[in-house]
Amino acid sequence: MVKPDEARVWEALRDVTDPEMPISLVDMGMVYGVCVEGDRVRVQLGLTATACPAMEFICQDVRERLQQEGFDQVEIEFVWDPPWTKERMTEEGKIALRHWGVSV
Amino acid sequence: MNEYKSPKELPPEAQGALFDLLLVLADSKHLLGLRYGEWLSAPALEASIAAVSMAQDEFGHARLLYGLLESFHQELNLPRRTEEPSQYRNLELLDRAFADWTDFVVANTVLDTAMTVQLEAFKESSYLPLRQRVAKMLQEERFHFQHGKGWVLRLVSAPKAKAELEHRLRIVWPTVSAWLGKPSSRSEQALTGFGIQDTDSDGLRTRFVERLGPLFQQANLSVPMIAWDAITGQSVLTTPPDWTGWDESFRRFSRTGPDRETFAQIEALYAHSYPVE
Repeated sequence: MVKPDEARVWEALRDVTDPEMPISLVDMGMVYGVCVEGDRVRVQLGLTATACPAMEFICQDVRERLQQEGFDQVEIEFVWDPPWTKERMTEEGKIALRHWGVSV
Repeated sequence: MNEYKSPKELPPEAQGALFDLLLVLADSKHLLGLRYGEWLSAPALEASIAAVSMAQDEFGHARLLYGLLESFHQELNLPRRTEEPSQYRNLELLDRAFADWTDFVVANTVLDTAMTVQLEAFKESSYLPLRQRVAKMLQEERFHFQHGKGWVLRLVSAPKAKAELEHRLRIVWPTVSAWLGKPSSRSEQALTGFGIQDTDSDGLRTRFVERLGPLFQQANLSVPMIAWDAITGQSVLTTPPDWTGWDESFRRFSRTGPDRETFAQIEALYAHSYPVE
């Protein structure tokens, strides 16, 4: 059962898109976990590649969006295990990606 | 088997040994990335794309490995190295730019494979932060060897290129073979004894030879450091490394570090870095 605060974070993260694709981090399967304690939130993110050039942008976008939700402290932790693969994408994400011409 | 979640949980003997090895790997991957990236003008468009892509992978792995070292500095107060060439621990064959495409192919098959064999030994590591990052790195390494292999098979079809390739392989072999570590050294005992890596340096060398032997055989390359054992059907190492002048914590014979031109590039990289959050 997802706590209401955490559900709100997941919903907010649907507004943050991968800078390289117009698909949300949630649909990309890049959000590995969310943990809320008061006005602090910790987000676990898995990047598609170790050399993801958009790492800084993604962090900045996640921070800004969650600050809008009233979280003073946004902590981002990168997770590499299990590695991100396209199987982590939601059906919606895969459809969107196909629409943009990427085969998944 | 114990599991260690942070540097301070590690036994003291293992702390220094793992720190040294991670820095060796990070610097080596950093420099390999730099070298791959210098080949935007490879002999084929596909090869240029592969070179840049592999450079990006190596930089990504260096990013992860330097990240792992951060907690050693923070928790154990281990000093940061000063930014000077002699403090770099990269595989010494990466000190200077590749002379030509043959050098690239040799690095792509032999040097890159040595690093991958070392990473594979961490798949079940007792050091959790490392174990958690290794699968992703290995996933990205998969096509590096395939690429190198393809070029080896392509080069050997021309007698002159084949002879040159054999010559280069003989030159790099002793250094790369030694790079996998000195048997029975204190650091090796700590790394294997506490389950940080799953085999000792001779075990790594065996895997390394088993990976490259079949390729050399397929390419009909004469590399005297590897022999084919007809009874076991396996490739075996004929010449163990000569350890004269070896520095185990740097995994180098010479402490000169990257040449002046290379170091200028590294320095420029830091000088131009923009402040990020």
